[in-house]
Amino acid sequence: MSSNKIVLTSSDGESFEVEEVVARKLQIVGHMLEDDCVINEIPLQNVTGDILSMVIEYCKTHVDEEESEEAQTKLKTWDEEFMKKFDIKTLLQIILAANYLNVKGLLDLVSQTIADTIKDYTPEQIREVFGVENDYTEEEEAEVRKENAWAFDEADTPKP
Amino acid sequence: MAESETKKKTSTSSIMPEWSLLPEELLHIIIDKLDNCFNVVHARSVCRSWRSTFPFPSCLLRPSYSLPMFTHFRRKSKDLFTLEKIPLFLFRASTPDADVAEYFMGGIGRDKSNDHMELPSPLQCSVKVKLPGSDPTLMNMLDYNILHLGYQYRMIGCNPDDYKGVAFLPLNKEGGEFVVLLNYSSFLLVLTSAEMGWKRLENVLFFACLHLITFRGRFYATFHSGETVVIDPYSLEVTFLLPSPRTPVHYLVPFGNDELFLVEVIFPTVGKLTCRVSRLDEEAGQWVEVSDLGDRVLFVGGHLGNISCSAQELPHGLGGNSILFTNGSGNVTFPYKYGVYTGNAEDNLDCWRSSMEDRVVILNKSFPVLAFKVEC
Repeated sequence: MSSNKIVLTSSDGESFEVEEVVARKLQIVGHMLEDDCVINEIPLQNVTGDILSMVIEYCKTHVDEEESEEAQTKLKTWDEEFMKKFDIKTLLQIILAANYLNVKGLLDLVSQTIADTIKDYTPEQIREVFGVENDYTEEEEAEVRKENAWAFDEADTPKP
Repeated sequence: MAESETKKKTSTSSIMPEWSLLPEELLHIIIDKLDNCFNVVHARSVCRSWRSTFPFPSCLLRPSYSLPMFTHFRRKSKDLFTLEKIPLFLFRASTPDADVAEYFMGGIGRDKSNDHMELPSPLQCSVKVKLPGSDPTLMNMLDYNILHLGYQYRMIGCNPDDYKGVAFLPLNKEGGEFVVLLNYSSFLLVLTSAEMGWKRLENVLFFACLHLITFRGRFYATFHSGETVVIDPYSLEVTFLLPSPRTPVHYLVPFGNDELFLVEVIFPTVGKLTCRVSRLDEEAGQWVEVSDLGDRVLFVGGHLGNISCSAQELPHGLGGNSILFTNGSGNVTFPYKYGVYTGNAEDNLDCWRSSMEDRVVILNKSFPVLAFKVEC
């Protein structure tokens, strides 16, 4: 692999110099490099410097996708620790960035983390964690409660 | 970097999690990673914008069809029949005791009763279960691992003595055109959405349909007289599957869209029941005997039809490569396994028979749930 350096610039003007192999983990960059191989500075309009630095940290760690089980386990542990650093708001920004920059592994990781956050919580807890206001009227919320009441089917009885 | 630090603060405080601004494809990626459809219902309960963003899980819908009554059969019912598609679920407590695991398996729908058992009126999903002879209890969905087991179609309004089962196949992607096979009074009747009238299925002259199921877009039926057939939903052409079962008691058990199994029960002149299990070789139209089900568990004979799942979904409970009969006479049973050594040297090892591991106590057999616990 070439050790060519690429400079990535965020929407707020922060620049990051990274190895080409790392930059190529961002598929959006990969495509640009294929179109024109002499580029060495790439502006990224839709991502701020603080979020881009996280994405780059992920890509640096995942630059060698080793097949061995040991390496995979190590990466998985790193992924878990990496995700623990962020609150839900930051995760949301990272998922948008991962989508825009087209980093599939990171997109999977963040969406799984968000899904895991949702799945253990009651709707009230989700509101708290995600900082979402409950904007239902009392009647609407009563309707939601009713809709969330399920039952195992009794014996088949003809409908009235 | 100092500049980036200030940026960070402004960016996180000014950008609230605007979930409605997330591209729909991202929402779908997140939804696909949720464990079960009730998590989606929870997400929908958070606020108005989430409710409009997350679609109601289609697997929880219970579409129904109004079908005409019979005209050629004497035993009429007054109203239309209703054919309903019912989602089946398996519930297992997330924090089971070390040595016993409890399971609830049944069809689920909205609780339409008015009593709603005004407990703390939880906003999260709960499911009411009322076992015969006991008070209804509310199970909080967050306390259970929940597995969607597919669907069962039920025909509502049929004379229950004659009704033996129904199978439904859509004929186009939109589901507007369909064909229904009904096992009624041991006859196979067919109705197409194009004709909307019942008639006897021709080409099936043998008697007493035992089981009727669908698998990979075709109907499969077995008969008391010992035939198993596949029925094309478009042409209604009937093709025999060979070899025919050698015993009158046999069951068809699909494993999702992957495999179809035939379980034959063999009644020996002396000793205990054994089974023979075959899987369908779809291309050859043949049953091929198997001695290994992989990590699958087959649930056979209950009111929900024959169901199977991966043993990975049943941790701390039933091991894979086993068959559980849920329609036996007693309340205690053991999974059937292949090659069980009975202690009697004359017993054949090349068959499936009751093992002595994983004692299963059936708590309830019929509606509303199949409830059982596994002692391990």
